[in-house]
Amino acid sequence: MKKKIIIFILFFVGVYALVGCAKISSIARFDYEVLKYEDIEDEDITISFRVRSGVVSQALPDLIKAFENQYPNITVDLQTVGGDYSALLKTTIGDINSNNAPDLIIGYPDHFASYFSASALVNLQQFINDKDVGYTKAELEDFVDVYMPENRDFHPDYPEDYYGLPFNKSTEVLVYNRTFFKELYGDNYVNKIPQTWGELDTLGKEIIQKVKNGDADEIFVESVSGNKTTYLKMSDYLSDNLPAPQFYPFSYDSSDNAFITLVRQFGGKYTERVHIEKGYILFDNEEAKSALAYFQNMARQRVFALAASFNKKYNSDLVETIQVVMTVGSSAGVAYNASGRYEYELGAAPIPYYSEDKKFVIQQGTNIAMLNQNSDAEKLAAWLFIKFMLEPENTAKFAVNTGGYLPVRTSAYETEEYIEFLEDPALDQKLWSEAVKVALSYPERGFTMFVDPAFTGSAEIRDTVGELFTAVIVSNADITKRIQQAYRELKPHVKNN
Amino acid sequence: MKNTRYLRKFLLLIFVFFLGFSLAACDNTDNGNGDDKKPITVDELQTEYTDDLRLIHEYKNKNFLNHGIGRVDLVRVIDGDTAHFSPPSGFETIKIRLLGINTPESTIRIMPWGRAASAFASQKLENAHEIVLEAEEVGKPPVLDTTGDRYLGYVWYRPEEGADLRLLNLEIIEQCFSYFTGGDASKYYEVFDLAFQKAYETRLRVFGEKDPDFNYDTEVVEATIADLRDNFSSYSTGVTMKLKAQVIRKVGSSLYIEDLEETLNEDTGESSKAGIFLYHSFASGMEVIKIGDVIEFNCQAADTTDYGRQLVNPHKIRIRDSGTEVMIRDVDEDAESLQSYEGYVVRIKEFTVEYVGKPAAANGAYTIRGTLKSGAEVQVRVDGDVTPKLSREFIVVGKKYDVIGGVSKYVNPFENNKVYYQIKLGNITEDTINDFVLSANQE
Repeated sequence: MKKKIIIFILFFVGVYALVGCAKISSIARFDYEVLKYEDIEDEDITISFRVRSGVVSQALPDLIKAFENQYPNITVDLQTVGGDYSALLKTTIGDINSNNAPDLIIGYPDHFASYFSASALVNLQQFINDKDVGYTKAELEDFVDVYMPENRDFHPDYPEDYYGLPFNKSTEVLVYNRTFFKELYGDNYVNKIPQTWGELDTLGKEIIQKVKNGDADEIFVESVSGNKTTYLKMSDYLSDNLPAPQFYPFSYDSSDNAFITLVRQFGGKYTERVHIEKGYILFDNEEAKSALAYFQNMARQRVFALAASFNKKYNSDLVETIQVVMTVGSSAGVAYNASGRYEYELGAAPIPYYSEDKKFVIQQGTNIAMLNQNSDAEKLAAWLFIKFMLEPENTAKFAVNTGGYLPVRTSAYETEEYIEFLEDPALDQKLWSEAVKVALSYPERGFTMFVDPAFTGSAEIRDTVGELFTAVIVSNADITKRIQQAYRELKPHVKNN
Repeated sequence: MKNTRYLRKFLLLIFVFFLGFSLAACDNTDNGNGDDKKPITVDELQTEYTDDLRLIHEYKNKNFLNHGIGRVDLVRVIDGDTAHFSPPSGFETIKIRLLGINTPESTIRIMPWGRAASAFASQKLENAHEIVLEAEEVGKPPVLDTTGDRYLGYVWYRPEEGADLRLLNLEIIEQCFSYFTGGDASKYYEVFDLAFQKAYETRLRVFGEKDPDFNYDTEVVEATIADLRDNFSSYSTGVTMKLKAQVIRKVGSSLYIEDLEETLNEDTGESSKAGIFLYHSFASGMEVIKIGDVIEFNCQAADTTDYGRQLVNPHKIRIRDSGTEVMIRDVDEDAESLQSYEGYVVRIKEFTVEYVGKPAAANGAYTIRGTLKSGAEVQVRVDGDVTPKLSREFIVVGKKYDVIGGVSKYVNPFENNKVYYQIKLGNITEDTINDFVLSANQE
């Protein structure tokens, strides 16, 4: 734990030492002038756009080409950074320090907070307000509401100004093994898909019993010879001879999201954001403890698990081996659960809730922002690119190219390409399409979509509560003691510390 | 017990030795067909950190799987950050995911600099005088990566006798083929981080340069499998193609497919439908595809060192027709090799089984070896992702079987990279239950 505290402190010291720590209220609101396109039309301009290597970078080249066709004097240099989003942050902080920052970048609000503290983040409000290249009120209102607030409230004197705009977004859904459910419950299997955690608890115990009884021993074919078919004997997963059961009906993919969502579903508080650079932890409360106790009990009953319960890192491995038949994970990641070893079909449904009045589901994903180590001409070119990418047709196309990410404009859902994705998806996009339809149905089903408030250090808090949740679920840790431990680890974020 | 194990190993050694001399259906000089392939060459950059770093642990008489360090032989390089090795004089494969790096893809999809990174790793390891694997923690068995199939490791190689060992992981960063992806808990964090910062400043290769061997054009090119057969190297540069083809067999979630129309093969002078293997690592949505479906999809072409030419990264897959008649080619009774059938699903009659390999612990894959009617030796492969698989218990050594499966290339690193043309069995379902049956005169 000592090591963790040291790393935590070093991270803070490192970030501030590298980028310098400006007093945020002294940061100028605007340090650029909005040019007109005619002013830069005859100038060859290259802008750099930095993203993480993976589905996002793979979905961009044809959109970039379309942008370059529309603005022939502007070239977009797509920079893909290998590794996770922390690598993207670290590389960019280094670049800011050496005055070599990219023009555009995607990232989480707490990353943007670091860039803002370094006086390197462009306030987009001046572009947004511009009558030639900005957004009309209707256009701005066309952005999906829930994605917008985290892009504001950076500058203490101008809390309504936008420093970023939503880019690739997802939510969480329940993914289930449809083949398993159909075989066990027949055509009315849909009625069995749990809507609440209480239903999941009851169903989970029933499934365990059925699996133990051998009711699922002839579903998934392992091998075939002339006249003999050998099936995966699922009852072996629950054999009394094993040191621990190898089957749980349900597993939650992200322990961080599980903690944040389930605490909220039980009415508990998690964090409080004061401003972009300051926030507190608040999860030492009765509701949070009740949530943890509830799911710890489900884990003891062998109904609820995490990948770590099986000593695995990824849940999808367990779905593949049919050691788990229901899981909650990102709508953008549903296809990772696809069959590899046994042939099966998957389905998507809403995340279960605890009580009707607290149907919460998390919204996650990155935003796009502009860094300011460039000329006004480059800033305008970068802004035109942001605007182009967030056009309804283009955010729809980007979402379809990536799979389960969601368009960030409401009207994008009405575009021809997106309607086809929803109503007649290609085979490889079918599951994503089903997951997205679930995500789109959340408001009418009474779900409240929330965003985990970001501030400097919120990523570390997420990691810590993820570890806390894992300890409670997998190691049956004492809840009060484990929360106290987390508070010690997150001392700089304890209120009145 | 111990003696039995040695005896088994000895017999296996004899068998492999025997195969190396007797397999008629193999060839180690062939490159597949007449389409000239331009090898990717990599100019080397400065590597001051790799030049100075030394391995400090003793590795002689140690075993990587037990001690976290040990000498190995190269089996094959998969791509820039993955390679397979075997213990000296051993036959087991140790799959290694190189720690601290993540090079662009060059197998399941083609990305800029992916093929160059792979070529660089091959260049170094294939010519190495000695290779040593080191785990993050020496003295303990190595740790598996998230796939559960590959060990995480540092790969040291000695370029020539008397030279110092060099850390390939670090060199790949200095060659600007990868960002540093390791955490601060990794043992070489400091030197990797410094090397990365210096390499990154150059803005070369993955840090900001265009790959001259990659086609950046985003336009999707309509093509047929015959077009690919005749001009493979011009399509295998990352270009995205749109194809319409008939499904002949499913192998896991991968497919053997054929053109809808016959075309003249200039090499053979015959008109036929061209065929190829379509590799699909993700199965989402593929379960509904049936034999005889006509599908339309986008994909890329890859020329892999170990499995030859194939299509990869299929997406936007749609079924355009169903229930079309599937034609299976019969292999000539006097065929000495399956090479001319590569990419096709064929039927071989009276294949005599001589050996049934053990199933791999990880995924149940196994190999059946035997002879064609002509006496030529071939192997039938049941891949790990095939589902459902043919039961091994069904296969009797000495019996003759009629077999239907796709012909693919396989380079065996344990036999000096000999090239085999093997039959891949597909998923055994109601439609394909007769893909491996006893020949008529043995019923």
